[in-house]
Amino acid sequence: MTDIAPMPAPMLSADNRRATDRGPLIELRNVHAGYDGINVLHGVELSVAAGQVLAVLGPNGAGKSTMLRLIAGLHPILSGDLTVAGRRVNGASPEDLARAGLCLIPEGRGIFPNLTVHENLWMMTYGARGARLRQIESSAFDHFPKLADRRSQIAGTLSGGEQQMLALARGLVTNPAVLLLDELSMGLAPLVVEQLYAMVAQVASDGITIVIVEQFASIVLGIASRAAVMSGGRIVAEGDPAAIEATLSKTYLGN
Amino acid sequence: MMNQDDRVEQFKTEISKMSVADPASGRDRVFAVLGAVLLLIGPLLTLVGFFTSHGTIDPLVQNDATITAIIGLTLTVAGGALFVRYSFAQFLRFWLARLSYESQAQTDRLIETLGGTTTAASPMSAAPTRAPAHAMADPISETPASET
Repeated sequence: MTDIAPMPAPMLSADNRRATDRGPLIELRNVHAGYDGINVLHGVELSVAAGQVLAVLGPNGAGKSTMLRLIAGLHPILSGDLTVAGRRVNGASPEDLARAGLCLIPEGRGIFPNLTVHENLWMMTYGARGARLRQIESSAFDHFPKLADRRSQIAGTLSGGEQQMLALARGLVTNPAVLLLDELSMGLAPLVVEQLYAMVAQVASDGITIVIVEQFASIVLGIASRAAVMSGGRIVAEGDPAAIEATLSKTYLGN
Repeated sequence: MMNQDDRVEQFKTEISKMSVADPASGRDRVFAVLGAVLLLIGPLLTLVGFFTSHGTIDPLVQNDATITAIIGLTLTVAGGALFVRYSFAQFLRFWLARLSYESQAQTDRLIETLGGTTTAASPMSAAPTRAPAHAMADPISETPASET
């Protein structure tokens, strides 16, 4: 796999600089992590400010999903610091982070395939009933009208795109402060991916902090306010999406 | 639905209230508990050896009982050492970290008083990985960016 040439210095737009001035909401400092003694992340340094949309790109095996799981508290940190809202949270339980408002939509969607769309949404509402549940469902269906037609359908029988919409809707009904999206486009047709990312852009316009991990750069760079490239468990480039796109284009296509 | 700035503030509040287990204390706690258990088992074993040796006139059995009692004493001493060492480990760790920080801060103040710059002249902060005391609380230090 070709190593991506590092940027000479992070090229931040004025918007990104303002976002950074607010202080990072999530920060990884020299983070190492691994599986069964094999290091996967080697000194990752990354920060995400409130309201930013950070796209993390890179090939298979770069450590992108591991990094997201680590932020969500699902993977232990061997060394280094994970700071959320200014507080070191190494060892924090994933349920505590989720309750606080940090929501991970994992690779493979994480929906309950044997439950209906309605039941999948209900599971994310901490037992809401009656009018509150209807309000939450209505909010989800406003974002994803297609799901309203499938309300009583078993989630496992939905198409790939609809399952991904359900996964996103489940995340949004928890009213997250931070959304971590892992490989939204996996296994989906390009048209469906475009529609999904249009919805993500709409969610991002509401000001939710989003970290998106993707293999396919072009579509996610269109909605990101900042981008980073991972390779071999390290951040090898970081900065403005347009600059990252130019770097990737030059490295892979020789443009 | 609250606006996103309020949601972020609420998120920060929730995170600050969260209890996060210190991974280092996990190991210390295990050893402290092990020490406490040995402190209980050791004397019991010693008593068993004592009463066994008193309950027989067979010198071989009495020898075995004596050895059992000595093992019990050994476990008691080892358990006591483990318990004392690891129950104080957390306190000692923080004490050492604080001592190190205050020592460095004092050195920096001394150098400032003498008229040198903190980062250039301080022998404590001359090491490439050490940051000056005034920057320690700042999670986003401007220094690395300005140096590049």
